[in-house]
This record gives sequence, C-alpha cells and structure tokens, in this order.
Amino acid sequence: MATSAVSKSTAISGRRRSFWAQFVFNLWTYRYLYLMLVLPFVFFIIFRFYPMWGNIIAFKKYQLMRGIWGSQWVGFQHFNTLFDDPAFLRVLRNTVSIAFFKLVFTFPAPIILALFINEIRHMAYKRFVQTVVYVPHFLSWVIYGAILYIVLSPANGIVNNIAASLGMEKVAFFQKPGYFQPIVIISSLLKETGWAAIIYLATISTIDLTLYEAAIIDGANRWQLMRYVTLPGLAMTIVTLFILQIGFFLNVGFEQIFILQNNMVLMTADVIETFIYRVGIRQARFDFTTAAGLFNGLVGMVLVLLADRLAKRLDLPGIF
Amino acid sequence: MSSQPKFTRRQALKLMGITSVSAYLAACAPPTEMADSGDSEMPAGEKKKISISHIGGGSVEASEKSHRMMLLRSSFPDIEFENRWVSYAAYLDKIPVQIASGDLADLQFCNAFNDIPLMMENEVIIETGPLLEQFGQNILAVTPEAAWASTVYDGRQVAVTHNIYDLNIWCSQYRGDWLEALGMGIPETIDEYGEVLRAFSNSDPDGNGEDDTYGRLLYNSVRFDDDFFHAFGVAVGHHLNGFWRQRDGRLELDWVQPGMKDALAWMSSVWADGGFHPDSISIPLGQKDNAFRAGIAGNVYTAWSAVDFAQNQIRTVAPEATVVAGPAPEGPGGRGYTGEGWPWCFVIPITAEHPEDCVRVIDWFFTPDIAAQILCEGVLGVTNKGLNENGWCVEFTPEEKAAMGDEWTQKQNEVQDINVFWGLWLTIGTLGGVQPFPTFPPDMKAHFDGMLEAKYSEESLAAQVISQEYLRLTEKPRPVQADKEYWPGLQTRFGEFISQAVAGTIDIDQGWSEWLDFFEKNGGPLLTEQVNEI
Repeated sequence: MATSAVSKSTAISGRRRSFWAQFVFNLWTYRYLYLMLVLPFVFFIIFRFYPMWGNIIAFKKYQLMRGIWGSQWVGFQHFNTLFDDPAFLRVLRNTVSIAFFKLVFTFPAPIILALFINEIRHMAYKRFVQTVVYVPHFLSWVIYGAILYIVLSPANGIVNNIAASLGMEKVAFFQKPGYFQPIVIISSLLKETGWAAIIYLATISTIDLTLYEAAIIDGANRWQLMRYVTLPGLAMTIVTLFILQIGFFLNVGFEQIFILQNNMVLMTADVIETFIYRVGIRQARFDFTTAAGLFNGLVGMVLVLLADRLAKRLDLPGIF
Repeated sequence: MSSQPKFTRRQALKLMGITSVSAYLAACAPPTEMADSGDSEMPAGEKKKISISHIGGGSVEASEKSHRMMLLRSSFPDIEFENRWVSYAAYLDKIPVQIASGDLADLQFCNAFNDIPLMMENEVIIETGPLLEQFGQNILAVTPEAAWASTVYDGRQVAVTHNIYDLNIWCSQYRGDWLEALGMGIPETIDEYGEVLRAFSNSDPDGNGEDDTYGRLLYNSVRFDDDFFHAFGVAVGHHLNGFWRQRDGRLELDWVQPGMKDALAWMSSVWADGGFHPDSISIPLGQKDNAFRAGIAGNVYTAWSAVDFAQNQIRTVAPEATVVAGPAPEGPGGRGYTGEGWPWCFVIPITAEHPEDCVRVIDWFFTPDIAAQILCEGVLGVTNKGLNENGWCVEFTPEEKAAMGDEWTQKQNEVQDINVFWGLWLTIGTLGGVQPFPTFPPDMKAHFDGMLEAKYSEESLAAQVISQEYLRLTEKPRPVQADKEYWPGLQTRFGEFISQAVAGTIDIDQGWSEWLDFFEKNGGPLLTEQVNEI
C-alpha cells in the first residue's frame, strides 16, 4: 500500500521534490513504521548518545563537587598515565590475544555448526541436537564458571580424575597462566556456539530451494551443495556479523573473564574490562578509566571502519 | 453469540475515560496513614526525612519487617526514615558510584579505610565530632578510644565508627579428633604447625583409608592467612589491606620485609608437600571455611565465634568430630593473629538536612534500654525468645535449639530473609560479635553476660581468649593521600606475587626481587613517607 502510494505520487507529480519535502512525504507515508522506531530511537538517545557526553572526563581531573564541566582540564594526562602503566600494557596484550583467538575460533564455529545441523535429515535427531547445543547459553557465567571449577578441579575434578586413571599428572588448570586463555576460548565455544548458530540456520532456511534442485540436477553432491549453494547464501549474513563483531573486538566478555580469573593467572587473565571495573568502579578513578574505555571504543570504531572497507574491496556487502 | 450484549466503541471509550480519571485521582490522593505508625498526631508533611543506607536483611522488604527497623520507626515519630538497604556484595560496587554521583544517604554506611579518603577528597561529608559531643553521649560512653582513629582527618572527626563491633576475632582452629587420631598436640611453633598440616593431608587422619583430607584451604590470594605470616614477623593484612609496624623508629610496610619472603618460602614448602588443598587460592572467594566445615580440611583461620557452628556442621559427616582453637604458632619473627580493627562506620553527607538528628538516631541504638532489645541474635519472638519482663531480649541456648529439632529449622526458614544481620545492621552487631555494654546497669549486664556464657561452648570461649591474647593490629591508623593512586596497583601486584610464590609457580627469589622493584617504582617510597607523616 505504501509502495503504491509512492509510485502514485511520483507518477502524478512528475517533478522532483526538494529533499525536505520528500523527507516529510516519506515520514507521513511510512508513519507507522517510523512510529515503531520511536522507542528504540529514544533508547539510543538516552542510553547510548547522551552518556557519550560524559566521555570528556577522560580529559579532566573529575571531581564530584565541581561537576563534569567544573572539573579541571588535564588534556591527555590520563591517556599518558594509562600507556605508561605497566599493568595496562599487560591488560592490552591479554585483551588483544583473547579477542584475536575468540574471533578466530568462535566466529567460524557457529557457521560450521549451522552447516552441519542443516545436513541432518532425521528431524527428531536434528531438534535434539539443536536443543542440546542451545542449552549452555541459558546458563549464566556464574553457574557455568562454577561447573568449570568443579570439572577442572585438581582435587577431584572429572578431567583430572580421568587423567590420573590414565597415569597422567593432575593439572591445576586455574593456577597456570598458560591454561587461562585456552579455557576462556574453549568454554566460550562450548557455551555460545549453539546459540550463535541460530541466526545462520535461520538464514539457511531462506535460501531458495530451487537453487538446490538446480544444483542437484547438475549433479552436485551434498558437499558441493554446501560449498556452492548454502555458503554463498550465508555470505551476506557472515560479513555483516563479522563486521559487527569486529566492532566489539576488545570487548572480550567481562563476566566470563571476571568469574574465571584469579591472582594466580592474572598475568594472562587481566583484560581491559576487568581493569576498568577494578580501577574505575572499585577504586572510583572514573576519569582514568573513562580514558581506558574511550580508547577501547575508538579501537572498536576504527576496526569496524576497516572491516567495512575491506569487505567492500572484496565485493562483499558492507554495513555502511 | 448474537445474544451477548454488544460492547460498543463508545462504551469502551467511556470505560477508558473512567479508568484514566480514577488512576489520576488515585495518584493525586495523599498517601494512606499507617494505623500503627505511631505518628497519627503529626500532621502530614511535617516529618523530617532521614535516609539510612545499611546492609542488614536479605532485601529491603525483609529489612522493613525486622524488629530493629520497626522499633526505630516507632521511636522517632517525628522522622520519616527512608530505608536505603543494599546487599553487602552490591555495596562494594555501589559506594564509589554513590560518592562520585553525590547520591549518599543521610546516614551513609561505609568502610573507614576504603571509602572515607574518597569522600574527603570530594568534600562530600561533614565533621561529626561536635555533633557527637552534643548528641552522641551514649556512643561515646561505649566506644573504645582506639576505634575513633580511622575516622580522624586533619584533626577533625568525620565519621561515627561502627563503635563496639570490632573484627579482632580471628584465631586458628583444628580438628581435635584428627589431632588425637594422629597422636599430635595443638601446634605451638610454626614448624609443628607445618607438620600438623602435612599430617592432616598425608596421614589419613579420618582413618577411612582414602587420600581425601587436607591440612587447610587457603583463602583466595592468600589474603586471609596471617597466622602463618606473623610467625615470621610480618603480615599480609586481611583482604590485602596491608600491615605496618614500627621498625627503627619508622613505620614500614610488612610486605617488603625479608620476613615476608621467608614466610612465603615456608608456605610454599607446605604446599609442595600437599599440606594445602590444591584448589586453594584459585577457587572463588568465600570458600575459606567450607572445606573445614565439610570435614575435608583439618585447620582453618577464622572467627572464634565459629567454633560451635563448625563443629555442628562437621558432625553431620563425622559424628565424633571436635573443634579446638590453638595459639598463634611461634616462629623466628614472633606470633600473632591479625585484627581488622573497626573498619565500619557511618558518615553524614553535606546534603543531609538534619545532621543533628542523624547523630541522635545512631546514639539511640546505644541507649541501654534500646540496645537491650536489639542486641540478641535472631528475630524477636521467632528465632529468639523475645523480650523478658524487663524488656530485655533473650536468646535460645544451644541446648534449647537442639531440643527443638525440626521446629528450629522451621523457625529459621520462616525468617531466613530477615536474619542477615537481623534486618538493620547499623551500629550494633549481635551478642558475641559485641559484648554487653559497660553502660548497662548491673542487672542488665548480668543478664547478657549470663546469656553470652550459655551461648557458647567452653571451647568457643577459650578461642575468644586466644584471639585476644595474640591480637596484632596494624600501626597505620588511616589511609594517606598516596593510597588512592598507588595502593590498588601495589595490592594487585603483591596479591599476584604471593599467590604464585605459595603455589610454587614462580621462582621466589626472582619474584621477590621483581616485587621489591615494583614497590620502589610504583609509589612505595611515597606511601611510606606519607604514612610516617601522620
């Protein structure tokens, strides 16, 4: 109905509208759609854009009684302190390392899982598999972390018990810095892969079935169907999600890391988010950690822009 | 279908109109007066408003139901109290944000060592000394002199301490039946202590033929195991709060003394021999006492008042178990148990409209007649016996609780949401945690002394004596300016180092040099200088 209205208006007028006239016309024509947009728009204004104003305390010595504007400007002092702080450099290194390995392992995993689930022909079994892989997502990291502690305990954890029964040495996984990041990656994979696969399964279900039929007539086997029909059908979703995930590159998951870390493994477990929590919230150094958060956000933004440009260069759809 | 009356659009609009007008009128109506609020004589709108931030009760609703809160409300009919309850866990995250935003309650609960420096820096709290002189005579009469030290800044008293509720209560406790089974006595020296821990782990003290027992489960970050450290003349300070002592006429931090390295080497050797539970350090906070209470570990460093509770818990898996407290083990550096002093307090922000009433309210808790009503553990009339003919509360004795059996469990379940600090954890703890006030009249004091005696076993009371005998307190009275910038970094680095040193994942010599280097380059000398200027 709305489309026909636009065609009609264009046909009748036969002349070009000014930008604002077209804008108002569209606003009225699609008023119900825009109405639906109001709440999310207000949400973003209040909770996303308005707080950005507070970022200026990254350049001030923030004092409560003087307020944000009244506090003294200190330029890039907090950034200098941040990059001179050996703890922050370690934090940055850990964050990049965890983020990189999470991207490498946890991004493709749901795509592969979705492709495999899609190949299951027995419907009851398919539903069973889907349910089993979704369930961990619904456990909070607190519960999941506790399960990991129990499973990996050197005293009586099942992993160590099996290792001991095979004549191997017991390992205190949560006391060795070298094990921390692999535990984070693997636990993320186990917990979230199934849930993340949903979006790919939904996309697969929208692929035109005639493409499969045509490919089968051309003699394609199941592997080739997956390779030449399903994967290209997923390409746009994959690129979009990849670019979005890149934007959160340095957000490696506060809850998970915070719950799993301890002082024994801090050298590989301290990340920007836990650093901000520890220093910013617990020690109330809001100006200093706003600088850290701003840095985090800027890195994310640059990475998104780069990924978008890269995608367009490769003739893949970007997000802008 | 056609037989049903039609609900027309006009009717729908009318109904919506009536609903909206009713809702509007309801919203505009004055709040209904509570029949039993005791303020019926006060015209609406003339009450003073005081908000109280505290951590008692399992929720704000539970706190409202507590006897302490109801008594407070009824005793001050001229004041409208806003109950700003917060859970202890949330408090830790919330207080810095409250300070930064200025959103403090009129009576703001906080930690003197951690929170007051920030409040002073932001100039958000008022001086309380003169107000205490005027309105706080009951508090002043019962508070030990030492308790005030942490709340004096620039010569001004800026907070009301958590008065008589101290945390100088820690001691080492053992499985008496295990010691007996192994033919060992309560250790007196640090070497004997090590042997006991090793034997608990490796010599099957429970006699079940399985390798399923341990000496002790260390606290996360080794932040609560000072009984070992004092034997080497140093201490970590509970929760990594630091421990300062006079050395050659200057206050020095224990963390950088040679004895610290020796203590870590000693602990590492016990760890290597399996004396500590292998999940120690890396498990989440709060598990410290659980291995002991579950009958897995034979030693724990905890509050003296936990002896009876621990014994009862262990007896569910080992009916013959006994728990005994022991003296601080002696070593080359002496011996001792860390006291935490008086960390909790109340401050009054500059935004409080009635500061004198705020002090009056706190002081009210220390009026003997009021304290006598709220000092008991349990919820009045449910998990304690209620008030006697004098209006003094009465607790159940352990024997009476045991005789009640399932009924006791039922009572506890009934009020479990209130029983976290009994609904309003203000200036007063509960009997045991606090002692009967010196200001109590003789008969009242005798009542509570008698109850205290009946409340704890001989072993517990012996543990209390031990905890006091070996009590050591840091000599740094309060935070200094440099704490804010440097102390958190030093805490993190030191916590990391000692955890790794004890568990043997680093070379202690190398780790020690690196730690000293870190201390030198990250504010250690400035901190020491400022502490000595206090």
